[in-house]
Amino acid sequence: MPEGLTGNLAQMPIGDMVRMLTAAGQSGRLDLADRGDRGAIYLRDGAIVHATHGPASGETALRHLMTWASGAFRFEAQAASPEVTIHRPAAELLAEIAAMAAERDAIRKAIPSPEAVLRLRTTELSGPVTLQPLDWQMIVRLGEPKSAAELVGSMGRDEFTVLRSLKGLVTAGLIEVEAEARPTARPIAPAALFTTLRQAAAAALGPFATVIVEEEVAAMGATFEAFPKDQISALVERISGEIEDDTRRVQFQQRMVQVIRQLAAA
Amino acid sequence: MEEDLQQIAGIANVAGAFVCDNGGEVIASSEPPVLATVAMASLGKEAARAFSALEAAGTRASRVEFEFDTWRLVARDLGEGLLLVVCRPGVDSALLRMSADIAIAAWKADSRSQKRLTKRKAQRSQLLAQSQLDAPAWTSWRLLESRG
Repeated sequence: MPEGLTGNLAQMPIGDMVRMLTAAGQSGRLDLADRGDRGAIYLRDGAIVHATHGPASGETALRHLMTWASGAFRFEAQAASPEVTIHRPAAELLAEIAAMAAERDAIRKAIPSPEAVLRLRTTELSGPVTLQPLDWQMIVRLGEPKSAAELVGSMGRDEFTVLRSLKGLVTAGLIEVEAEARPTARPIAPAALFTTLRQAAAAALGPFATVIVEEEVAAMGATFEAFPKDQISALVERISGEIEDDTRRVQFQQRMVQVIRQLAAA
Repeated sequence: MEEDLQQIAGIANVAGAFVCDNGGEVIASSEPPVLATVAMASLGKEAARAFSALEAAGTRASRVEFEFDTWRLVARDLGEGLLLVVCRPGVDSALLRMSADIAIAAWKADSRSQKRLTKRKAQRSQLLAQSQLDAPAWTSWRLLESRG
């Protein structure tokens, strides 16, 4: 495994990490991974010069990545940026993103989750309220109660703008937030599976197997205790990618694919 | 070979799998066959052509995935032929890729499978002969080849 600064965003918030790297005048690539979602932020002498997240790049990608609260990170010092898509000073960008983060916190207090159900309030208002066109579009759509996610999706505007406006309507007392729907629990992989996985990885990778398995689980933004069952094959494939010997890799895959199939049939 | 294809076809959201040579002739298929033989041959030929074009463009690939609205076609390059898997979008891609790896490794080590693959010795380059392409495709191919 390459040397570099690695860790989990739950322990080291993304904002602190990027501020630390820019303040230290670092150059390199900060890789981020969360449950199969990936992104990267490139720095050159402490300046943020490029960011990628899926098809997005530049400030759009950076703004999105800076909202991540979970997942794994790894900083590859001196990795060069393939291009420059960000030109503003890092301090200005980070201040702007921090202000957005504060606003997001305020939004989260008013609308605690995407599943929160929104409905128009029927009680009398305490005074006059001024509405913007976007506010009115939302009120029209709330003839029937909707989840925050449904409402945002129906607006055809960026999520942050809609949620900020929605927060204003909740604060003004025009919309009330009902108790949120309980999210469906995702099936968890059985603990015994990881015993088999560690054994099979050890046979293929040797003494570093345990570390590699732990790293790959963390890189997927998961834990052994609550690893999603539907992500097992993705984890096995990631680990098999670390096995350089073709024969050992196929043997590892054979053993684990058999386990996955048995688990699916159970 | 058929047993391995049946294993792949047993994965949830996989409709079927087959192996064809570089000329599109079907060598082995899961049961029941996922498509009519002529359709499988046509898909095999096009996938082989895609691998050749990618190689000529300097971006050699060992796996190509075609994603359509309601189904996906995964093609793996076997050198002397191709493995093709027809599946739905909800398929567990990692499981499918690993199952294909396992099957391909078994065929490489099995002389009978190798014999079946090389029986007709269909050359991939034949798919890109002028006689096999219409005029616009031939012009595009020449351009691609000259840049590769």
